[in-house]
Amino acid sequence: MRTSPTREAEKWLDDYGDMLYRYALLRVRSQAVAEDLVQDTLLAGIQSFQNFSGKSSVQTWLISILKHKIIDHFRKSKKENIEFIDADAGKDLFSRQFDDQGHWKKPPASWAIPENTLENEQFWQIYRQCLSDLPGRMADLFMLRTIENLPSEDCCKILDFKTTNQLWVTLSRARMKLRRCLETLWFNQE
Amino acid sequence: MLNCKQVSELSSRSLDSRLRWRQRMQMKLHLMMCEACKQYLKQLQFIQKSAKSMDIHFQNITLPDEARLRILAKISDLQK
Repeated sequence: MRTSPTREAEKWLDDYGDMLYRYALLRVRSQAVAEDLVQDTLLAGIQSFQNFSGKSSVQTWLISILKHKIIDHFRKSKKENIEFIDADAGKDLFSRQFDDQGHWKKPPASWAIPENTLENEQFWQIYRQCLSDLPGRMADLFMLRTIENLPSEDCCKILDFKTTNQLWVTLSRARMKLRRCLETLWFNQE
Repeated sequence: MLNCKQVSELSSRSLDSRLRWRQRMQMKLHLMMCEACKQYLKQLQFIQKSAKSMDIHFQNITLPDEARLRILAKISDLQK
């Protein structure tokens, strides 16, 4: 006989609370939102527990619920984020990198990337900070496309991009910003 | 001939979709002659690789105790 779903949920919180929170926080970048998402995920889990077949692990099942919650959050917050991206377009960092002929004003120099960079805790603090510095919708897009690995077409629908071309242009700007931030805060510091 | 601005757009796009043959050739040609764009592509690839391995590098993040208690209370409420 199965125990009650709420008893199960207490166990989920014990076993997977940290993991779910971590997953959410890295994507939505707000502690309060991430906490709410963990709660919503567990409550949704209680609701749908009877449908959980046990074919996948509880961890995988909870993550898949959380993924949907994160997408819903992005979908809801895109309206407030649109202003951010427009305000940013005026002083477009991307275009400012090039002269009228489309040549680099300051050509990117080689980064010295030591083998163990990805094991360096301080590097990751910087990386996360640079992600947080991206304007709202740009950051949401980078999360969905690159980290969640959602197809471009799905990202367009969720975040209301009219064309995939517009989406690619925005991703290109997000990467230019990230590159610049990492260079300033990390690669030029060593 | 593509300029650096166009190639930097294509470099980013190449991480999201397969470029058309013609675009790939034009990009290749440009990269053969342009060290700056070559570095830029390399750096974007590094940023991409890092993003994909982000989760495993933040094992020290834990759910704050206040939030845990609040969620637990919410779950118990359902039992009543």
